Amino acid sequence: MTAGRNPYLWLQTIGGGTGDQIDPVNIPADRIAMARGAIDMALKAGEDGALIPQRLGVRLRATAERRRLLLTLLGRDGAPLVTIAVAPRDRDGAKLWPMMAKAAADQGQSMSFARPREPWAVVLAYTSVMQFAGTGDVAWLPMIEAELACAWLEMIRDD
Amino acid sequence: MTDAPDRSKSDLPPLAVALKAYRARHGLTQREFAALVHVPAARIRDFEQAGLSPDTHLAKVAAWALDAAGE
Repeated sequence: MTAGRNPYLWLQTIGGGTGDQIDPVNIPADRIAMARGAIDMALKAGEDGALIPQRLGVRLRATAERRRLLLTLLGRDGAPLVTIAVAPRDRDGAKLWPMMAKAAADQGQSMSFARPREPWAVVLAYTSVMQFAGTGDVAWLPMIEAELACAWLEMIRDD
Repeated sequence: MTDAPDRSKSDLPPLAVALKAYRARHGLTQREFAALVHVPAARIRDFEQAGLSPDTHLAKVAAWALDAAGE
């Protein structure tokens, strides 16, 4: 790893208060491997996205430009659940930050925090996440967000 | 920070009442629900207990809960 590069990922939800500093080494290797596979499949699948193995009926749509990644998880009805922007480096953050600010504004939400130090992942949640309220299992979504973001950092590091 | 005072249920906005009822119906704590909808738990508490104005996202979530109650 390059000297001075921040080894932690800052994960922040728009409108979600404080963010979390995540050490990727704390995420189990099998979960990272599964997330890498999901991103790979989604990148190849294009606009339709690909079903993810982590959650029945949930699809992942992915767009990568250089080292920047935009992900959208889609529910069973095709409605977006969350969009995740992953910015590994400063120049990526400079591109992605205004894009997420605009996407948030389009949803009537605003960035209530300053742009974090890269690498970061910023999550925009949509109302459709409510379709999972009745499942009783509500922790999976934040977990997958962290796993996908950390998997991407690993993927570009291995490139 | 001082917590917002509780208001009687009849004073609360219908959306706040609907949201609390929706959570209760699905057996979700404020913290669990907050994780799902990506809103700070404190904001849900302030909305449900004191009727403090929600942001747009939380307002949409509550509107969903209100719609669901009518189904």
